[in-house]
Formats: sequence, C-alpha cells, structure tokens
Amino acid sequence: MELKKIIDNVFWAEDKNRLLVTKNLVVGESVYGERLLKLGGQEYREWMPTRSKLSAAFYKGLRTIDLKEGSKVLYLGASSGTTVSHVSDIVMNKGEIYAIEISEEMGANLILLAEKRKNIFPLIADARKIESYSKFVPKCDFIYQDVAQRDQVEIFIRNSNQFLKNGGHGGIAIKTKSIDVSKPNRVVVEQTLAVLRKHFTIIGSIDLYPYQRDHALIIVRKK
Amino acid sequence: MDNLEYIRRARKTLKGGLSLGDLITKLVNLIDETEQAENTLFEAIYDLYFMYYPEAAVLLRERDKFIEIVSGGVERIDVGNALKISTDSMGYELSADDRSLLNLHVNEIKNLSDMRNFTKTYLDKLIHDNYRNLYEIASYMIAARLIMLSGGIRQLAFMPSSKIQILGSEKALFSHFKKGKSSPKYGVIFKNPAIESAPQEKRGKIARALASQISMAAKLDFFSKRDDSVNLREKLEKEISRITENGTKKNNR
Repeated sequence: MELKKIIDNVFWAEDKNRLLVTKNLVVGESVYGERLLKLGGQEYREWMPTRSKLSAAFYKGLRTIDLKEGSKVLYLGASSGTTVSHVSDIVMNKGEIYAIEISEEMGANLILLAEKRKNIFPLIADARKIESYSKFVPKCDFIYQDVAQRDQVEIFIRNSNQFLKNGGHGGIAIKTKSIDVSKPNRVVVEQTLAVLRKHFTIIGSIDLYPYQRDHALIIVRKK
Repeated sequence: MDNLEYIRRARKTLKGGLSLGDLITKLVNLIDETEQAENTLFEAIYDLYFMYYPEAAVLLRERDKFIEIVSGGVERIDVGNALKISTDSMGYELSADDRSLLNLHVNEIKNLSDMRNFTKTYLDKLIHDNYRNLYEIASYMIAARLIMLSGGIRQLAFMPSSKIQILGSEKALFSHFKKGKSSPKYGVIFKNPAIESAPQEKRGKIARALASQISMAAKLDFFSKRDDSVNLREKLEKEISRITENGTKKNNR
C-alpha cells in the first residue's frame, strides 16, 4: 500500500482500491468504529464516505481544500463528532476547531471526544443565535457547515460574516431535501449557488451521490 | 490554548438543558415500546399455544387475560381448571421440554408487562407531584403525552388550546390541509373517558372544552404551581354537561 498526499494529513492509501485516510492524532483510538491502519510506523484512520460528507466529497473528486495544519475552523452542526474527529486530525495540535452543536444528546458524544482531542472546543448552542457564542469564537480560517436545515444557507452567511477572515474558505454540505423537498436536486443546488454568489466566490460544487443521497458540498471563498 | 474551559462550559449547558420534560418523554417512549414488544411476543406465543390447546386459546384472545391465566402454568390441567373447560384437547401433544420452554416465554411476557405497569405507576407519581392541575384534569398519561408532543411544560403553557386539542393528530391535520379532508377534532386527549364515551357528534365540542381547561391547567402548573384543580374540574364538568344537554334538546326539536 502506498500513500498519496491530498492535503495536510489526508492521504489516499492506494492498493487495489483507494482508501481515504487521515493521520491519527490520538494513537490507538478509533472514534466511531472505523478501521485503523498501520503504515510505515504511522497510524492512520479510515475516513468513510458513507459516514462523512467531507470524505464523500474527496471520493467524488475534490482535489484541494483550504484546510491545513494549524487552521482555525468553525464547525457548525458538529453532531457526535464523526467528521470533527477527522478535521481534528488535519489541523493537528496547533489548530483549533470550534464545534457548535444544538442537541444535548449529540453534544454529550462531542464533549467526550473533546476530552481526548485537545484541539476541539465544544459549544452547545444554536447556530442561528450567533450572539450566544460569539465571544467564545475568534476569527477563523475555515468554516464548515453540516446542519440540514431549511435556512442553512442563511445561517452559513451570517456566521461567515461574523467569524470568517477575508479570503477565508468555507464548505457547506447542503441537504437539498430539507431546503425544498419538491424540487429536484440540481435545481436546489443552483438556487443555493445563486444566493451564495452575492457574498462569496464559488470555488466548486460537488454532488455527493452515491455516498450521500440528495446532498451536495459547496466550497466558497469570502470576497 | 486549552479547551478545558470550553468543555466545562459545554458540560454545564448540557446539564442545564435537560429537564423533567425530557425524563417524561423518555418514560412515555419506554412504556410505548414495551407494550409493542409485549404485543409482538404475545402473537408468536399465542400461535404456539393455539397448537397445543386450541380450546383454551380461543377463550384467551386478549393479551392480558392470556398472560394472567397461562403464567399460572401452561399444562392443560392448570389452564383447563382455571377456565372450567375439558382438558381433553384436539391439539398437538407437546413434550415436557416444549412445555417448559413455553412456560419460560410466557413468564418473560409477564415480566415485561409487570415492568410496564411499574413504569406507569412511577410516571403517575411524577406527574402527580409536579403537575398537579394537569394530573387532575387530563390524567397522567395524557398529560405526559402532551408534554412529550409539545416539548415541555413551558411550551405547553404558551400553546393555544386549539393546538392542544389536536396535538398528536398531525397526520389527519396535514391530510386536511393538503387533501381537503375533514379536520381532526382531537389528538391524544381522545383517550380521556369524557370524550371516548361521548356520542360521535359531541366529541368535537367536548374535546374543545377539555382542551381549554387543559390549557388553563398547564398555565397554572408552569407559572404558579398552585393547585386549583377542583375549580377547573368543576368548570369542565359544567361545560361538558351543558354540551351534552344542549345536544339532546336539538335532537328532540
């Protein structure tokens, strides 16, 4: 098996099939039951496309994304921390992830994860109510959002106005069925892009089928 | 920078975010799920028992009765004596091993049933101690379901009574909006004996009267904690008797 670097700490492990892996920050720990691989004395965690939208985007051809070692990331909709744990692998100990999650039950998992990974800063709050957490979050290099709400684009715009550095990148995983259930996937994505163009430069939009049904990932840069 | 401060704050938020309403929601779910499990198990066991002793099985179609009689002993002699029917059966002869297996399964359903009743008693006490007015007006199970559906006593207290009336009938409500079917008259409050026992054409009106009193009770429970249930009860009964009497006059005319 040989490793091919995509971005910091994310690699394709190429054998017969290619496998997306991240360098494990906490050696020996599997977060949600994913496989651990030992390659050349270094431990890697498999990043499954069916579990994480960001991983699915890499499988669907995302080449590069402005996430690197030491980045400050605002993560909206952290859930139980599946994707967060991989982002935590990417930014390493120098980076910081501010993980916002509204649900108490999901938040419990996130807090337990944050106790093991010192670069995760959990905040149990509603991403719509920016004022409730604004004093705990600094300016960030990257904003990632995965909330599956009808007004998720608006939430993203307001958060990036407040927290994203000029020229900073953002990733939005949109669930088209929760924005408008009656319209086909592509139409909703086009509409979302039209709204986002007013505030951002669009870098790319990726349909995540077949790994995630009715989902798309949009990468933007703040003007 | 260390994240300990963030963890401490998040832990605090989490602790503050969980309330009695969440406990009640989980207990109601537990009761519902246990009952479902009981029914599924009962169907399978009933079929097995029918094979062994069809004469008794025919008389024991109801789950609770079946469990009560058969958990005393699965043998034909025991069940036959309890039901006072002939022990000479046309069923299949099960071996002693099969019968002891059957016995274990029946006891397992009985355990589930006991556990559900225990949970219900606990929920009864919980609602009685905390939401006295709701307990008296709506009964504990309806009160618990209303709290579950509305998302907490605060939300219930701020809810208009017309919405309380149809909580739990979302499916009928949306088919009313979308397909123009008749609107639902009651949701979970239907389980109240005053509505259940009323004639078809009065149920809607009684449901409205009940919902308005439930709304009052919820407001009392949330804002003042004062027990004013006697008054509310009286008002409700007056209203219900007015509705029932009015109707009969109309019919006679």
